[in-house]
Amino acid sequence: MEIEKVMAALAESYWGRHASEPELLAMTGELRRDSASIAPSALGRGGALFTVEPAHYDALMQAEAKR
Amino acid sequence: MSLDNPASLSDAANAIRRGDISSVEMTKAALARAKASQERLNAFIEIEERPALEAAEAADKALADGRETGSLHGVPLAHKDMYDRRGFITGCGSKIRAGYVASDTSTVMARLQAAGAITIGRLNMSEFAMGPTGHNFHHGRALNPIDPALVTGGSSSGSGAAVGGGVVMAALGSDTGGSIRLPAACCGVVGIKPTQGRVSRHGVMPLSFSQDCVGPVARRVADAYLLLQQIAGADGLDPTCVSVIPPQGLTSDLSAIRVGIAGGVFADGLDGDVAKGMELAIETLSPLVGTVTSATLPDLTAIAELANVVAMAEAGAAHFDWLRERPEDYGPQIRMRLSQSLAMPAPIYLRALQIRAVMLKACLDTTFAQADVLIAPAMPFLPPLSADVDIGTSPRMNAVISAMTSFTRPFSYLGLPVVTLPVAQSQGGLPVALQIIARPWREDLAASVAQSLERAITLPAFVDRSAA
Repeated sequence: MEIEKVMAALAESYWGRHASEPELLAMTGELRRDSASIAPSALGRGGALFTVEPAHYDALMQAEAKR
Repeated sequence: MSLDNPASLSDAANAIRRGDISSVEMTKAALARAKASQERLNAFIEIEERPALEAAEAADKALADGRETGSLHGVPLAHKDMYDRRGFITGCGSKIRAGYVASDTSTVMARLQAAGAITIGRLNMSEFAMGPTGHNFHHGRALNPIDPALVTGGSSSGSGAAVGGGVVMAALGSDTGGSIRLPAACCGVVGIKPTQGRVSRHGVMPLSFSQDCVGPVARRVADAYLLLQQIAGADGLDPTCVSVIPPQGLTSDLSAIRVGIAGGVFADGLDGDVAKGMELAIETLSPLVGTVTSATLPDLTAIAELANVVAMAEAGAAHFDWLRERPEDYGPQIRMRLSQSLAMPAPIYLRALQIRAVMLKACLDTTFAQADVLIAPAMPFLPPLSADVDIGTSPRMNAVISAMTSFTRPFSYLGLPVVTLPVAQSQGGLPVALQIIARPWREDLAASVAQSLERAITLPAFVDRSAA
């Protein structure tokens, strides 16, 4: 219930309108899935991602192009 | 196959070049097929008869005048409704863009035009390329040419239906999480999702800028690869399109190729027909390649959620203003999916991008140190019934939709090139499709393996079960 209130507030703040019931359902579902799977990812434990930048992905792809 | 509907793109172009048939004759035949098939397939959003015939007449005149011709000169094709052409509508399968007339031509369409290809219409698609089943609230879904009760797969639903239904020999689609591979898998044809950055996205409808790929759907591997070669390559209008060696030619010598079989999540709980198809493909490949071993994959836990966060956060940014101003103009399923973007805080989106870099490195250092290509099923089951994924009518909808993309999304997230092709036919006459995945920029390896497999496994034609 509390999550739904947060999601409703996000919609009102950013979209300037009320979220529909299906939208709220999708938003709360997304938050629950991501908080359960992405937030606690073992790949980030102990600060493992502290110095990893998204651009490292592009650098890897560029390096592969030169192989 | 016939003179006006040849077996391959090369056959078609050669027949026109030799004067066996004119481009106008071939284009008229394709237009007739498109119109005749529309009730059965609903593959087209718009059939563009007059411009197609004008272009075909110009192609015939160029040939008669002895002007230089491209490798697709005069050949009729059709493409997903998301590539800009100056003066034509790019509707994106939507209501919101239904009347949008492009002021410029996308690089991919400009390259196909330069190769001499004729466009006969805009193909159906999931609204704004969101949706793996091919459903479209505004235009109705394209129907599977093998069985209308089944989904075509999406989002390039019209591309799968038009090619699988024999209307055109090939079509462009796009793939952000499986949108070329799933229609190819469901309609019994070939699809190539190129490496991220291989093909320009200039003038192409954006969905998720860091995962969107334009690629071909075709009857045969050679045709798909030929189309890829036409559209690939650096483009000053798209700085993310990488300047790398162009796609190389295909080889039939696979003696040094190491094939890795993707296990784990890619092998658990497979439908019996899919498992048999995988076994057949492995048996067939084994004598053709150097080695076949179990692949070592990085921990792919949560990869579906990671890919979704990247896709929907980027889509949410692209659609932000319309979500504010005219949310009622989206179909209900798309509006729901786009709303997910507001539930993704920036650190979660960036975390998904950070993890992508870590997973790709692990994949390159380990998986592709031991194998040149991976093989995995395209889907864990046969093409599902449309009724199982109709919004609001099926309690199984979410589970089926998630499972449909579970084998395709990981390779979109990692940006790897993939060729999908049918490798078996179920007892009920449905396609079982395989993915062949390679290192970045090695579409040639994946396609070479796919072509050898295609030649070694002679599948009976997929026929319309509803006509029986």
